[in-house]
Amino acid sequence: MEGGIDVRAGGAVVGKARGEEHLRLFEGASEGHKGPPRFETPRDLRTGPGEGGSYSPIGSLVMVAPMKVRAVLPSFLPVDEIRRRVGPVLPGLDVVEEPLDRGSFAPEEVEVLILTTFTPLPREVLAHYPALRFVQVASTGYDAVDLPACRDRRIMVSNIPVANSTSVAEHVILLALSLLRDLPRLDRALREGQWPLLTGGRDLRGRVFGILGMGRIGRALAARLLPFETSTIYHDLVPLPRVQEETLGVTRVDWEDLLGSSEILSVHLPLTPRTRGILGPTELSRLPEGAILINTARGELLDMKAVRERVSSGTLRVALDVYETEPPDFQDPLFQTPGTVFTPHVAGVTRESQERFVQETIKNVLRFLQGKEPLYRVDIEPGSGTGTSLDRPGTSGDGL
Amino acid sequence: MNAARALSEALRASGESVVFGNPGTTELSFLEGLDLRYVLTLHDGLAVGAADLYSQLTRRPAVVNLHAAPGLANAIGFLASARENRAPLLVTVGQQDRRHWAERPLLYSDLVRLATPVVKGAWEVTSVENLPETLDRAWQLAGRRPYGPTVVSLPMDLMESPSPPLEPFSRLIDPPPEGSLEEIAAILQSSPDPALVAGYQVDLDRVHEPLQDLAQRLGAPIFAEPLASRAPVTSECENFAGDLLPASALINSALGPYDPILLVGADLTLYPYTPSPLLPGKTVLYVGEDPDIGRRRGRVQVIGALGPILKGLLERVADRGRRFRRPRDLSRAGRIARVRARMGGEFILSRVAEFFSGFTVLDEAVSLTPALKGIGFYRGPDSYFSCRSGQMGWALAASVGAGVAGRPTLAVIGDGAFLYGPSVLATLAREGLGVKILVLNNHGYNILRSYARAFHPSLESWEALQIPPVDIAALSQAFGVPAESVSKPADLDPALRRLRDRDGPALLNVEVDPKPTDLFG
Repeated sequence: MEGGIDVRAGGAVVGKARGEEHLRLFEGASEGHKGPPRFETPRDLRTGPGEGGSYSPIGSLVMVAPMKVRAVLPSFLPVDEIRRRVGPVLPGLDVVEEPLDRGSFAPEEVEVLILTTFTPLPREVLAHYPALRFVQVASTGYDAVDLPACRDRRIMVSNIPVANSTSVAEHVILLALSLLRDLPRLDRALREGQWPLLTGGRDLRGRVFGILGMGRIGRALAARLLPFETSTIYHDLVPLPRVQEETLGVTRVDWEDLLGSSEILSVHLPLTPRTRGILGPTELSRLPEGAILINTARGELLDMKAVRERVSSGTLRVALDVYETEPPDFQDPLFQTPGTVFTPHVAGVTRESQERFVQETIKNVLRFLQGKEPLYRVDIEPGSGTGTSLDRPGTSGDGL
Repeated sequence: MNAARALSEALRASGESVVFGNPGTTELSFLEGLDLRYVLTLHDGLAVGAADLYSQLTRRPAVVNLHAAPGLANAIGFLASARENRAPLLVTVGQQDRRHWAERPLLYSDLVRLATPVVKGAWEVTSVENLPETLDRAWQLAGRRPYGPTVVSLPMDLMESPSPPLEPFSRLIDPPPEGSLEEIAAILQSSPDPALVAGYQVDLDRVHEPLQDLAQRLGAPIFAEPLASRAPVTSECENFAGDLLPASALINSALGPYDPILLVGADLTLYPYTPSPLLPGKTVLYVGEDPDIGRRRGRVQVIGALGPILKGLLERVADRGRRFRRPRDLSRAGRIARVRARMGGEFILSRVAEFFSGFTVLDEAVSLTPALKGIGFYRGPDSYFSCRSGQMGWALAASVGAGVAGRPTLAVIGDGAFLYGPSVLATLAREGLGVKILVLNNHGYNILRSYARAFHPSLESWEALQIPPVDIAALSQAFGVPAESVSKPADLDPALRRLRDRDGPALLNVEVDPKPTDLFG
């Protein structure tokens, strides 16, 4: 695999070659270790079971090392409720609303930082956290974090790629069905006292459904499409293992075939310099006439000027959950154009997914505090620079 | 030298090395003089089935020895199949001693009359003097296109009679094509939307590549003839547009956009009946070996071997600068995934295709044949065989012939077809033939259940369409062929690998989804 990264595994799995690069870069790494670079975890403070022993993060609170942990949450989240729930599990955790530097102890003391995708962590802000050793992004997307800066500081970064993939997948199907069955127009018509009898509705069954980026969300989507009897194709730099392709019923195709064949195309990529604007005028022009483009990943993956042109000409329909700026400019003529449906970056937001985010975040921070390797490590090694190994048009992974 | 010995030497001198048979008392005089490998099957019909495929693979007459009237009668079904399969067979049948024919002794019957309806020709040798001429005629007719079986009745006493040495049988030479290639080429060249229908003869003559070249020059699709019994095209050929189904309405639907239709060594076999006249208004052309097909189907026909015919057409047809490319089947992965958990046929066959890529496949899993063909088992010359006659029990017998011919062979057989002749396993074990048997076991006659669902719904669940429980793996082991059985998706790959890699014959029984598929719906 070019680049030696596989974001499907969650944060990242670093290949042997890259791992060796890290061994050279970071002195003191475990000898013979072939996996991701071993950043320093607080082994000396660990009081839990040794490696190989059983491990129950929630059930081993007394073993948590007294480290300074700060969670910075955007104000639209129920911060007080989260504080109330998490407090008993992570004693001493400092849960604060944005901005980053609020809290009960000084930034200089913070060793573990928990963020969501809504809180940027650029290099200059990192400079205020000299003791920081671990950043836990409590979201799938981690593009708000300056990964090269973290690499330079030997700060570990993890995300939570497992919490909302099913929620996003369900939302994608909702959006696809909405446009296939002309739901926005029909809904509006009835509210306006009309009773339209004829529609151009299409079945989801039998449609060629393209998935760009076969990470967790892509796979969750494919699994849910299976009973709908779509012809599901995908493009990803890294092919799925054969058995997984066989189980999901998906066919890997090249970039050109994905664009040329997808009656519905759903994007599931992380935002990186290489994926920014990956669907531009040329790519969109290759989609079949009347295709449906669904974006629940990152707004910047699409060239929105090209999208507007295609949609206004009636050759493309779009379902958007994410936007270049959020909230978007509501004067955008796209909002008035037929063949569109919009949601406000909530594809992954359900009660259930938020609960999973909290659970997984706590579990992973506990792992770190107990000297365990955190899960869902993001690859921030030299060369990737972006946290991914994605290359255009070969791409890989999730983005949300 | 007696007649039996003279016959044996003539067969050897004519290039024969094997006789397939099941002997009786009336054949012992013939067999006493035999100096060829004798492959014993435990039923007369199975010997014909074995020789059928052997002859199709070697493309020359194969020799069978049957036992008098009962043996010949036992083998009639297989002989009829050999005729349909265009299998060149020289079938010798032991006849009662001439000296008491008038007494109508045990085993005596009119063998010529018995055999005639299902073979190309049948004769009885009544004197040693007639032996050379009769055998040469039978040999020639069997090996003249279109191939087929011939029968020669050999009285047991005659085989012991003194005889001079026999000459080797005459060489078989394909005559040059007859008909106007110019006319067919001109029609094709001037028509905007021609289509090709490829048949068994493409495989017989090993002309997959020139066929593809012709289709590419014309920008035309290639359809496989309905119920194709040999690989009429390679599955990966981008002009291959799929197999025609055998009902006239479905053929008309598939070929509707095209005209003219060029049948290339192909026929349009029909079943079930649909009231649509076949290809109304279309110009149908025929090139191939069978004047009867040409007469019935072709407005213009050229009769002969396909090698020179296609060469001649390629010399006369210019590239039209158009391309036909079959759309990729993007729904297949999903179809397979949806039936994986319940061991659906398409899932199993997709795995089989991966493990048995270099094998000749003998197909008699009838209800799964469309799925098998769709998976892509047309892999070039001699890669795929099925029985054209609709007979059950053919593939297992044919596997003996494939094994004797030295082909790596996988027989894919339904449990219903398997149980017609499991004694073949004893022959495979005795001869040490490395044939692999894959039984797709749905515990019923699902082709019948599928037909019943479409045309006689009250019979779909009739108990006579279910097969009583049989431990097929145990049965195989009893005959000396190692066997195992699997019923779970995760167990399939390892079992297929073991089946493929085991030395000698082996059998794998796979419990497949018993639900009938909609083949006639």
